[in-house]
Amino acid sequence: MTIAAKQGVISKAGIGYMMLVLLFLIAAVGLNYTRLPLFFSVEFIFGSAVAVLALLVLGRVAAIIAGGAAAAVTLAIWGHPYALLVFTAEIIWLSWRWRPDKGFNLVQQDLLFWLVAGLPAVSLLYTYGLDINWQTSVLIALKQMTNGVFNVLLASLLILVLQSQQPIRRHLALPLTSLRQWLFHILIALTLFAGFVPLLLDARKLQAEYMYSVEQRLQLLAVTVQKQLQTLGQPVNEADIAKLLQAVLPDDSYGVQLLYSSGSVVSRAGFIKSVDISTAHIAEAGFSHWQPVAISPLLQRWRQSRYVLVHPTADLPGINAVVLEHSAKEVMTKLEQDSARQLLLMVSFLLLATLIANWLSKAISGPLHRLALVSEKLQVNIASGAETDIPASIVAEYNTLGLNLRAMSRELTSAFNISKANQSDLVRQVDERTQQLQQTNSQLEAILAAASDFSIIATNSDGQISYFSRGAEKLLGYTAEELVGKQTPAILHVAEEVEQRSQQLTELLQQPVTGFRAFVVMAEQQGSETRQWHYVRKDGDRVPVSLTVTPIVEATGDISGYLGVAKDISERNRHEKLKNEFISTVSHELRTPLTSLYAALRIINSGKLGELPVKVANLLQLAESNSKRLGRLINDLLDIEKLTAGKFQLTLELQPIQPLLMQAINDIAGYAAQYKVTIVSDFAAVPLLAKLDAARFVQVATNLLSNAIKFSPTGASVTVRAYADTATIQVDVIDQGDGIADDFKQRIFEKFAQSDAANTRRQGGTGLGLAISKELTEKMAGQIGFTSIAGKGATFWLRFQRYDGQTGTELPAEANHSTSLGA
Amino acid sequence: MALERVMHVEDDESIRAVAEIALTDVAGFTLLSCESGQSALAQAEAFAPQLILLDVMMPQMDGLQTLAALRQIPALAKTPVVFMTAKIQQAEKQRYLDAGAVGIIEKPFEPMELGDTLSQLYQQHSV
Repeated sequence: MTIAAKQGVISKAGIGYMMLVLLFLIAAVGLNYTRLPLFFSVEFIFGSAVAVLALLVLGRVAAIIAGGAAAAVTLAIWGHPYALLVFTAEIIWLSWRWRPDKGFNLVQQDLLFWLVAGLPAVSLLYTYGLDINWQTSVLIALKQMTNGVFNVLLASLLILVLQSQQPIRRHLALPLTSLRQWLFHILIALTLFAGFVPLLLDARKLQAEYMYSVEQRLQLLAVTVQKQLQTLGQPVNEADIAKLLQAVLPDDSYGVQLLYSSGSVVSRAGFIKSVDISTAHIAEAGFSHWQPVAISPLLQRWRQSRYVLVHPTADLPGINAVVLEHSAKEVMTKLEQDSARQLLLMVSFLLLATLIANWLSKAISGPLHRLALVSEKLQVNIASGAETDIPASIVAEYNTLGLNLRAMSRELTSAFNISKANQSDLVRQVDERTQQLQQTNSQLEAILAAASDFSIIATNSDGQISYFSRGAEKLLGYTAEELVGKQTPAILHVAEEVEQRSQQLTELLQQPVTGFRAFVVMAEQQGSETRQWHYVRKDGDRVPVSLTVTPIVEATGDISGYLGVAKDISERNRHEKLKNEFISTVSHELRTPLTSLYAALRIINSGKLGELPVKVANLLQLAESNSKRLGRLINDLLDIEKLTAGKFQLTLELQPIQPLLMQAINDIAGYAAQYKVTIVSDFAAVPLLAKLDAARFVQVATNLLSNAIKFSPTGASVTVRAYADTATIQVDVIDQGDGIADDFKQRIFEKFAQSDAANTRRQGGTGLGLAISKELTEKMAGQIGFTSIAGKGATFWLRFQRYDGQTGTELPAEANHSTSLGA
Repeated sequence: MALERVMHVEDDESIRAVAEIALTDVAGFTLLSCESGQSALAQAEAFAPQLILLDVMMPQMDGLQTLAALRQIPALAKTPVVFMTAKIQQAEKQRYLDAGAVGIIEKPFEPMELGDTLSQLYQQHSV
């Protein structure tokens, strides 16, 4: 049990410490001065309790100081130095034996001191130093031993109780007391209390009894004297009185004296000590115990003390009182014997109590102590998987505790083993996964390295480059080291291009888009975005690339970065450019001879220069229509070239669709007549407004109509419908031809796709018409499609956003609108 | 006033030939046909055309250059000019109009309508 003598808590050198030492010193001295009489000649002093407290709270030095000072008091009160020596030795012994860290038992240590050193020392010193008989010395020694042990017990109990108060313990940083210590001290205290109290009470009762009987006897004597004096009559003479007095006394131990009012005559017999012969002053009435002043020690003094009864007499002339004395020696002897007996009993109690408390506390706390030890080893045993040996006990609760502890430790052990197994299993899995991952990584590395024609750049979500492939290095002239973790792709782009695109997107999305976001915002929305940019190589050269950006989405749905795969398209561009220029040049070159060819044929066929023989005319008609076809082919080729080069410029204006359809119908009228196909129009009455390029829309409509006519049987009709719901305008071109073969449906809008269906009369298409129509329609923000069942004809449809005539804004769809316009 | 005198500048022989028929036999104009810008410059003033039909793509002196040069001749400073071209992009159309052409005819042209078209343009733009 450590108490605050962890010198860190109350520092030895501090003023606080000094003050406390002083406090304890004063308390010790004070308590030794105030003596508590327990029973005859046995007084308890409590200074050593304070000294032991000082030991436990402040440490050795303080204890010795306080204890020494207290012991010095005995010199004053008892008048001899032997107690001082012994008490000082006692406190020194305790201070030396006290080990704060090992469970303390100062009670036992004190007992040991007294049994081994104190008792013999006091007995010898008092017998030979103070000239007292040895029995008395031994008794005194026993008393001091009891006192000493009692004090230590008191101090220990106090500390125990204080210690159990949490705030104090915490403040003084104390560990908890063991059960054994608790039990020991409590048992001893209880036993002593149970033993001492009756003893004390008994002792007092006896003492009172003795005194009372002495008093009674003296009283009786006093009355007898008084009566006898009365019988003497007057005049009284000294001799008679003396004889009378002498006769009354039973023996020498008694003394009787008469107190005359005059104060001069003294009549006495036996021994009178309490009343001075010369003064014969009036003593106080009543029974008292007189002690001679100058004799020490106590016991000696009491041996020579006397009991005094002052009995006032009212009816004896000239005599005030009768004083009777009795030697207290008898009573003292009895008391001494009693006291010795009681002391011996107390000492026996003490020794017995110590033994019993020691054994019992050990027995009771033992199993718990062993359990505590076992539980300390538990942790280690569980970790190592060993079985823990839990001690059995005869006490039910301990046994239960032990069994439960064992069961728990088994559970824990098995759980621990499972956990260990899981852990090694997990480790194995992790190793496997790591290996797999490494394999995958190597594969990935290999793939990326192989794709050296592509620049593959990955960034984190902020745009910082996290991966820069070999292909990227090759294309751009930077090394991965220079860029990864250090730059965003901004360094690779042309600032103006980025700026332009940013502005475009800002307008389109109605929110600010700048910098890196310009690359990724559309990719985020659509899953990926492919655009053409110029990369800037390290040496400053610009490379046109087609860049596809995709967001990298984690399983959680968060975007962790972006992937940009770019291909150098300068070759492609060059080819494209050459091709386009080629087409353009060739087309233009083709038009030149066509101009004169067609014009010549036209003039001839007009008949303006004269009539022709029928067969000639027919042939020339054939020639003319074919040269027209040639012209259309050239136009289509040029259109396609313009469309794919992105050079097509449409002017979109808000206008009603019906007039444009009418124009197309008119334009195609000749063609329809040729094939003997009638065109039926079915338009909604209200003007259906859309944003269209008039000429191009007519071109598309004409294309659809010409197809419809071409594939209609003779005499059939082609229907053109124009209608709308709230938000969408639809134009249907319906024919009654053979419909579109299933295997052709996929390819129908491709360039140069022509149906394989043998329909020789219907040849004459360029195969480009629908491709051009699709491009044009989509450039006008419309949709084109068809429905057809082979053998039942076809319906080609166009859809455009409908606009409000007054506001010029898009008309919204109805909330519960399910497309009534068909697929 | 009706259109009667037309000058045509075109380097391609065949086109010149059919255009001649279209403009004379069909349309009934008095026609001066030149094979180059230089030739046109030499003869234009004397012919005093009411309208000039200019091919755009010509070697040495193209249509625009020819136009610029013809405009130097005071008598022809205000004569309406129509361009004829095989290419036609919106931007190019604008260029020709900006240069002062009153109209543009695309190749291949409709020979039976050429005269009417030119007459119309002449009516619209003769002051």
